[in-house]
Amino acid sequence: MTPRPLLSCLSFAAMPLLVLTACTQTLSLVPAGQHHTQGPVWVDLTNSWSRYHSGPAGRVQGQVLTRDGLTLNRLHIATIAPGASFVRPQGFVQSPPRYQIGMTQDQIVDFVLYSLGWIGFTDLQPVDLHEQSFGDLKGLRFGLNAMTGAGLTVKGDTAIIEHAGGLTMIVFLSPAGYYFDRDAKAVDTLMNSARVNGGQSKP
Amino acid sequence: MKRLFLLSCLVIVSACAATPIASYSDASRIQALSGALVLAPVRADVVFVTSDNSDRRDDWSAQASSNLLTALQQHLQASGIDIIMKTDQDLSLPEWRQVERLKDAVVTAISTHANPLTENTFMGTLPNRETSPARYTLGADLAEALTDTDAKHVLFLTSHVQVNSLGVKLANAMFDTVSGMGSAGPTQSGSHLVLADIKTGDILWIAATQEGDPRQLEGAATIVEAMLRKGPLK
Repeated sequence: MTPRPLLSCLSFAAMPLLVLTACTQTLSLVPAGQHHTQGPVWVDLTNSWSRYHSGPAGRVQGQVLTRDGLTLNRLHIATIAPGASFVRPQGFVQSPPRYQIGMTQDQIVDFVLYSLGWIGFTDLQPVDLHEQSFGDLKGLRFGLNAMTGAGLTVKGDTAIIEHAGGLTMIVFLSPAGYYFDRDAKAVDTLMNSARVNGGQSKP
Repeated sequence: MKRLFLLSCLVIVSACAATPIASYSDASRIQALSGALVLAPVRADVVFVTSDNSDRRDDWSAQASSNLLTALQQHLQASGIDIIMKTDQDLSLPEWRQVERLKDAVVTAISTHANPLTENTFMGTLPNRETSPARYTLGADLAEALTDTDAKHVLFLTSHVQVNSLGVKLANAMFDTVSGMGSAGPTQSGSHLVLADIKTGDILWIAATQEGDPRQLEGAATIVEAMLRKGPLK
């Protein structure tokens, strides 16, 4: 049997396993408390969350967390290296926006907004943009008003920390009605608690 | 090898998508349904799909909406349930459209992650909700959008139908033969009913089915019967 047919047979044999894996091993519990994320970032969670390990997590950098399902609340925690994008390139005709060292404040905000546009949000508007300290590091904080592709109004909260390892973005998005309001205070605590371990200012 | 990989992906997606929500019930919150029931405007969306295009067919959608409404009215009246019909003219405020879109978002979340009755979910249950369950709700927006009623509950019916062209049907049949999976047939439909408490906004019950083609009254009746077979409105 040549390697090519063998691989084909193995692929077919592995299908049930792949199906099971795709359907079951996609989520894990993230308990309330200090949550260390990918790279050097950690945040304090006042509620427990669920983290996706596939599906939506495969489309973007970093961690994707939810409390009730992605259409009702989503928390992205990602550190983007210089030259990289938040959205994982997947054969797109156009390249998703990339983070570059030396971006101005406005360019960083645009990078975040354009990146969220790539995962299906429209009419993205930053609100209450201001500088904020996260431990020893300076960063940005702003709210979001946006729409889903289906026309549902959503609101968001965003913390941005630029450091030697890249750009850390923490983004929460949820429907503007009941769901955003329910979690707004907990998410505010989470955003304020964000730290970069051993974080050095950007060069 | 690339084709094999794509086929594997299709199989995985199909296998996961083939276990949709059949029914969701927050049984502890369903008290005796008393009084009249508000019936929200029925939404049906019919799309005609060809190998290189898809086209929303408003004439088919209007027919399907009308058929589903007729079938639902007949069933509820036969069950002795008083209904208060709401039309798009009654609910023309943008706030109502947001309520409907939030309802769709909640249904998607539930069908993806939470189905205590069938335990069939697209991506598995959310671990955090197992340890600290929270209600699925439309919040206060529902009551604010439905101010002029004394009814306690509202019922939504939404249906999406994909009608495949001959070319797409043949492609599906070939895929079904290769994959050994059941065919979706000339149409693929998905319909759901949502019962919510107007005062709290809480989602009390959801039923869904993939049966029936609502472009014909018989198909619409099949859809309604399939969803109401179990649950508080039978």
